[in-house]
Amino acid sequence: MKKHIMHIALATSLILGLWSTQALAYKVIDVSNGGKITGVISFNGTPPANPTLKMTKDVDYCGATISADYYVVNNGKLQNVVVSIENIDAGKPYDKKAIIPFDNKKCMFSPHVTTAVVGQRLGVNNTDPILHNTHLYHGPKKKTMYNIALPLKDRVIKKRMRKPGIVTVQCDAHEWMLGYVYVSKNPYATVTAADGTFTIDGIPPGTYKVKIWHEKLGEVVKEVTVTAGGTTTLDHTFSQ
Amino acid sequence: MKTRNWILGLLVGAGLIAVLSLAVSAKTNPAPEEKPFYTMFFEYSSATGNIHPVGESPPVTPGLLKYGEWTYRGLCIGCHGPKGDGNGAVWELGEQYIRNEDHRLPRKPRDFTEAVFKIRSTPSGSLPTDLDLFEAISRGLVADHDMPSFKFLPERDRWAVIAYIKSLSERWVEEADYQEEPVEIGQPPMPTEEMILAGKEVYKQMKCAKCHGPKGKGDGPSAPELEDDNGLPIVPRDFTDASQFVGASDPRGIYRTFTTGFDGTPMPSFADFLDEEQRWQLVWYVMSLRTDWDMNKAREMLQAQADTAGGES
Repeated sequence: MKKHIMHIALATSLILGLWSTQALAYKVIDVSNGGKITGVISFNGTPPANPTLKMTKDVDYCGATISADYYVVNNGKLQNVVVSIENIDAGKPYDKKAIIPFDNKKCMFSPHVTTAVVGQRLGVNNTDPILHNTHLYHGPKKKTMYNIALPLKDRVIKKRMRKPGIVTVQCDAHEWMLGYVYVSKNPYATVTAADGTFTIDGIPPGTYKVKIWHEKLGEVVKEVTVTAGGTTTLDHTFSQ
Repeated sequence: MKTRNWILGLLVGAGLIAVLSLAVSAKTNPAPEEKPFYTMFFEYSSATGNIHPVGESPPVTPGLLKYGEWTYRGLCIGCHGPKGDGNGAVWELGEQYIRNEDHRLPRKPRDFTEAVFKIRSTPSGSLPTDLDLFEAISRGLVADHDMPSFKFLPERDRWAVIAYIKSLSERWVEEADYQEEPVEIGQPPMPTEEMILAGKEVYKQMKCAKCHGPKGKGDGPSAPELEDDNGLPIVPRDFTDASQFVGASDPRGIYRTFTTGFDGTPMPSFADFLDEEQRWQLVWYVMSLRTDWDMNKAREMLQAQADTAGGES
């Protein structure tokens, strides 16, 4: 009997040990002469039309219809694309206590796509005078991570992003609402701006796998070499 | 070896039949015309077995785990499936019903490999406590869940099943370090007319009517499009019929439900928006919506409960 308990204790500590090394995978180190990756993400051709969303509830406030924000293309440049370095175990420091803003605004999520580092908190706000509930789902199987009601305006609720991966955000009260939080293992993740540009800096020299992800167009992984103090250009063009 | 398989097969079969007949009897028994008021505290009904554990939970040993697996294979496998992912034979049968006739859609059995649990005393996004699981297994889940009560099982068997269920998802290991504490729920205050009136205001402020409707009939404007994590349609609870409450229908159960939310469903947690006083107001307002509501009886029962609790300690 005692032997069994010993075995379990051993197994548990082993598993816990493995888990904590995994969880603490990212190490903050001094990056004095880091390099930079910068580039533009484009869309070749005519982007698919965004569907018109019918707002069937709170019409007085939300309006009757709105165009979805799945494809935001300006002059062939694509917004809301996540660019992230996947395999980096040690690098620049980041604010672990940062609150990543995420708003329910005019019956849509704002921003539509954002990033957070594992352990950081999402600050969910509701600037609408109506009930929203921010329902966060983790991973491709979309399992509930949190489901919080936001019945009152302008009260920020902070929720920790515990696991890396893509978090889909929805509102059960307004089924057309859709957003994403890309939870990265390291602070080297960003989202493209309205002009399709992005910059990731403070990268220790080395060769990395960089993931480029768009909610509808999927993902590509590219290998990029970063030199000390140098700037590497990484462009990508999606097409349908 | 062959005989052993035979016996195992027989056992599994017997278990399946037991579960099926329980589920069927739960369905075919016509609802009584007048629902007894004790639905308010239905965990104290006269049927055998206890909802809350009396003894301590046994330490998790390989023996207990094995025993839990054995019990699971006998009693739970029919709905929750051999892998524990909710794809049991009964569910597949249920799916056929849905396709073939106008059958109300049941909820999919819990997927223990994902370990997202609806009924928890812990905040939204957390795993439930062992006690939460014990009570859910003991109470069963009514309404569209078809989860029978297993309070006839000895406590040790229920703990063994819980230990086994917890071995089916990595979440239990991964999140051991930051498991959140259960919310503290004290004894409910005596209901008063003022409290119910205040609760009505909380119901309005929290916009519960959005899904549950202005009179709590489960017919709010957002009700028709609601879906659960499996993409299956789901209806908001009708507060007028307490016999259909999925969690517990007693005051503390209702307090828990809107505080922690039902993960895996559209029911969110209101924990960040309500203080203690407002929560009890809301509890009594929701309680007052049931058709068999009787304030005096509620006060009597609450008093009796407080007396018993006082006498025990």
